[in-house]
Amino acid sequence: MHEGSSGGFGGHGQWLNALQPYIPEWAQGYVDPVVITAWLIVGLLVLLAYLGSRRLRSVPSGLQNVWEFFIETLEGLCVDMIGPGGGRFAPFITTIFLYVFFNALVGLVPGFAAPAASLNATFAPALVVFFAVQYFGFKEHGLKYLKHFTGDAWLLAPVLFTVHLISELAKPLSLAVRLFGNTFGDDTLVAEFIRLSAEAMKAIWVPLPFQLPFLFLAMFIAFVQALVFVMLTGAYINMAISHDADQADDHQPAETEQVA
Amino acid sequence: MSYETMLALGVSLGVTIAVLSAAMAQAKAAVAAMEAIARQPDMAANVRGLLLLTLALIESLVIYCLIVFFTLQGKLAPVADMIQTQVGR
Repeated sequence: MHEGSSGGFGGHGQWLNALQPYIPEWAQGYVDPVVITAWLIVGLLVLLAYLGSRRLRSVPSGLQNVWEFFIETLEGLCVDMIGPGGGRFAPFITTIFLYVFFNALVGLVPGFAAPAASLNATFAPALVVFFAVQYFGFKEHGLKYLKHFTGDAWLLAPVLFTVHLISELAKPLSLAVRLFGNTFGDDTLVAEFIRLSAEAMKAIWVPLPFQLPFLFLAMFIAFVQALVFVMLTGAYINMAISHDADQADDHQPAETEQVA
Repeated sequence: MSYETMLALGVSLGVTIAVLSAAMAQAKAAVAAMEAIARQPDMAANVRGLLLLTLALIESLVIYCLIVFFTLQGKLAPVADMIQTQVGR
């Protein structure tokens, strides 16, 4: 991986590179374009939420309409993945979806580096999901949640506990690496095609955007990866709070709108 | 075979083999989904959502291989150096 291609102030052509002289000495290693971009995304989401909920009307229109459609769809997804009581996880899951989706998407805006293209910033929502799933499990079952880890046979308990613990740790790892790989690969692909079109400008004197189809692909992949992140979160929450320990989690899926 | 040769082979063949197996697995998933939709068209929305999730999960295995590719590619020497070592041999 090239130096400074994702995260870090040496990255190519970021607008946030201009901030580097203004960062004080004690914050040099910690304030990074990745962190600044992530906070800007959080600020943007808060602003959109505030604007969408200012004067709530019974018949929604404009931004409130968009938010209502979006929240209803994701609440249907929660009920689909977690079962009838899934609506109380909807705020958590909607926030994670919006954050991950915008993290992956902002890399396509000229001048910004996607936080999801840096493994540090994809571990953040993955760790949040990990701790949240354990918290929901303990809240639902109390200390008997640990019995999920050990299974039924007492003799095999240490082995099963270790295996289950490792698989619980592997879940946020896979979430983070999946999001990182997809976003970093897509952004690298788009960058390569931009380089190709810049080099082709030497032969043909017209700048043609060769990267256009891959921009659409990257937007679609960002949406799909955010959706997969959230669906897997729902599946992990379902496994953590399910009350039948050895039964497969098949419930009748509720009638939902089209997902894709 | 020298170290650079093996490394170059690993870099090129790793993602290829992963993509081959992922293509076969995704084809099986897609065929099953299409048969299910053809058999029961009013379950199309459910099947479509599940199909998308399954395809993304299979594709994420290829992405794990891509990470290994990027790591190994960082260890490859530049082409000029490799030609030097081959010519100087």
